Amino acid sequence: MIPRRYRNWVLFWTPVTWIVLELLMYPKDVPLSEGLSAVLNGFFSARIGAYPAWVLVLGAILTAGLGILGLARKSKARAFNLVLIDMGVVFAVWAFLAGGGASGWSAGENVIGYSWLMQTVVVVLGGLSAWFWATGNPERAELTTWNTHQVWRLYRANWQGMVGLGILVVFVLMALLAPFLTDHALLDPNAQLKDAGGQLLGPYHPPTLSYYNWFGTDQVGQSVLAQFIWSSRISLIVGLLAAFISTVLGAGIGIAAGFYGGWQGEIWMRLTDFFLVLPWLPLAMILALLLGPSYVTIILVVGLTSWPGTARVIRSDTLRVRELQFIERARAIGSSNWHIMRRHVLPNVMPLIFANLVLVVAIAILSETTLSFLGLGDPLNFSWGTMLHYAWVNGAAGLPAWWYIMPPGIAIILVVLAFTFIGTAYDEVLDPKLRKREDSGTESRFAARGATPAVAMGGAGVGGGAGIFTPGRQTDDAMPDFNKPAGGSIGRPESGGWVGGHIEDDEEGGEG
Amino acid sequence: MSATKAKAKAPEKKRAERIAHKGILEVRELTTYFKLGVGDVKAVQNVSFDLEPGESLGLAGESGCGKTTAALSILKLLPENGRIVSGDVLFDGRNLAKRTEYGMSKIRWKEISIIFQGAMNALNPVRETGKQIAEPIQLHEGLSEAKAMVRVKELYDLVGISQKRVMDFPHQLSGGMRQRAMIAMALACNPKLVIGDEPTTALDVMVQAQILELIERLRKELELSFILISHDLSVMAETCDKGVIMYAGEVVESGTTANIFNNATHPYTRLLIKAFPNIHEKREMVSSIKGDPPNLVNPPAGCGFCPRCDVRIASCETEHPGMVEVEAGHFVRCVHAEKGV
Repeated sequence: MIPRRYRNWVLFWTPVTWIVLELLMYPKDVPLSEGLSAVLNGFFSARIGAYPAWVLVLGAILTAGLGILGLARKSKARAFNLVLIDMGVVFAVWAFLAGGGASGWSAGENVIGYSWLMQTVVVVLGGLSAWFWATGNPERAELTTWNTHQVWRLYRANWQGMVGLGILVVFVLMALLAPFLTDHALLDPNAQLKDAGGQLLGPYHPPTLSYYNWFGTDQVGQSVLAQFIWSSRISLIVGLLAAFISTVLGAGIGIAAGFYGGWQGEIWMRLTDFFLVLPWLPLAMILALLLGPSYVTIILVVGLTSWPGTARVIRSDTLRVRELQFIERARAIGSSNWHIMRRHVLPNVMPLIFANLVLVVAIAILSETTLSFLGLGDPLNFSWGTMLHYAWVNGAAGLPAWWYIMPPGIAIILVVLAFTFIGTAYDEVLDPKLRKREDSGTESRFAARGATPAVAMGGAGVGGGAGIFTPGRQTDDAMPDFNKPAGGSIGRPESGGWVGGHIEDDEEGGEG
Repeated sequence: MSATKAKAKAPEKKRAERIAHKGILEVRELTTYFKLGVGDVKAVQNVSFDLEPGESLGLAGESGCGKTTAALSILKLLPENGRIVSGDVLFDGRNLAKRTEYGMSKIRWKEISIIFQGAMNALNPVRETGKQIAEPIQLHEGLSEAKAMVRVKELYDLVGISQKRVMDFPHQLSGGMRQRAMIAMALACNPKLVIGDEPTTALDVMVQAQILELIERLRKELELSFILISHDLSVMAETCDKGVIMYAGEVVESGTTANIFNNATHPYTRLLIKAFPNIHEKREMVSSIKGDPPNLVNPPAGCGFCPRCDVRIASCETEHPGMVEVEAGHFVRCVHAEKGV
């Protein structure tokens, strides 16, 4: 039977994924007054929501391909692979609809396609595949759930991390809920803000208590609040994606450069040095000009120019790690370079990669701000940098129209701060060396479970048949007699074994 | 082309047949050098010993005497600047000293495995211990990780760790448990021969005893041949059938453990035994061996132990003594033994 915790996990994440997707794809041109009814109306309408057809074709090939590959390899999770193939078929149908269907297929066409319905089907299939995967690979699934719970348990004990996460959640919610918080029509160049009497507020009107005027108006009398909220989407997406590209590039090159000594390493390092000595801002400006103004350009430019620092840092750490004895041991076993880099070097430099990722997210957001401030941003999509650009160009600083400058400025500072906090906390979680030893001990589990040891012990008897319970024993150092078969006598009392004990239903309570 | 290959293989094959009836491992005149800026360090010179199936052999000597190098030479796991200069390592009739890296990768772990020195350092601190033990199984038997983990749990039972600890990180295990995990890793692919490179160093005496007992039990259960590398003669005395005492890269005395302990002939062995307190006899001051081992870049022409020896004679400084059989299977490299015979 399926242990309940996989089911909860799937049942929780499927709707969350669906909601996030829907919010991200929610059309900008639906007036706020229509609100949620637009979602329902749009469910079967042929016009709402949009993906270019080629994205869907890619999705179809990837999912169906994975499924067929899994079947070909006679993977244990057969149902999982079948669902994947189904998902590929749905993607293909969707692509056909989005591509224009009968009137001739076009990869760039992206207006029709029953997207809400299709998205829902895909997400449900995704949830189903996750479920089948969990039941097909119980060991792997158990490990994944365990990891997730462990990481969260350790993370939430860190106040800095929680503060950072809190700030970030506020901004992410603001970004996701933007269509429900403000009307996108207010960003239209002709949409000046009016007061209750229908009078135009006029340029640089200071903030009042009226909702859209919380942050006053800009140089043409438009709502700063609406700009601020919609800007958060672009700023966060650009920052995250650019940092992701930069970190993947930097970490990959850094590990390769550090792991392969000699001429191979030298080549990677000279490449890094080359990009490092190039003056960043002129390069980024030229690239942005060449690629044209759009936020995808900014993502690429920031991502492709900010990796050398990461690469250098990761390389230096790789140089340390590759001399450690377990690398030699892995070689003795016969592991390939690829395996050693992936399974031994990468996890060891992971804390550094994450610490760096956080810095890079902060840097990427600042870079995006810089480029947008210089006027290289996307003219169609506001970001906090673009707002500062317009504020600067239109003399808001001289007035001083502080309500136009401070919201984006403070938001950038807060988001950067939040990422730094999260990075510090996550560093601690990811590096097992920074953890305390009693994390695997028994006491915390009893406390977390809210049960007395006696109860837990009873549970253990049901679950694993583990034997002696020694109160206060923290490690298994005291090995009574190892000539006996080792089964019960040194087994640990809790039945959960290595599954986090704070999960409500451990396996003994599996399927009620 | 194939003819030349066959020609090259022919003598090898003959030799293999010749020794087929002998032990599982036969090391003959093994010589290993390390290349340094100042010249070659002659870390192992003309080391020979053999091992019957199911037998255990102890390699003992002070730090830097070449015992670990000798063991690593058997597996060809030498660092980049090390090389086997001459000699044969015959394992099951195959000469490992002449094998390519690829050929060795087929032997390592499946047939010969090693328990590494220092269990803490030989385990990746940020990878679950069980998964690390699963690595050789995945690699050499082509199993998936999930299937390998089932095997790992059996191995945990075998070495006496709770199966529930498979997903623990190394720092969550005690020193003794880490050493057990290393033993489990060495046993992962059912090898015939296990080399224990100081498996009990840096453990306290109680745990040391447990680990040695565990090795002893596993050796009997699984019919393993075992090479124990240790600087601790008492450990060797307790666990091994045969002993080889090394000094300055050479074997100075070899024989059964009884031979070595009851009838120590080489002055170095005698001084080594004296350096351990005897719990059965009157308490005496434990004596240490004064002086330092010779520089192995330019080893002395005569006996390597001569400057520290208390029974040296004039010819020791110039003449290099050969191995002499003082009793059946008991060999000693000393001028006094030569004279005695």
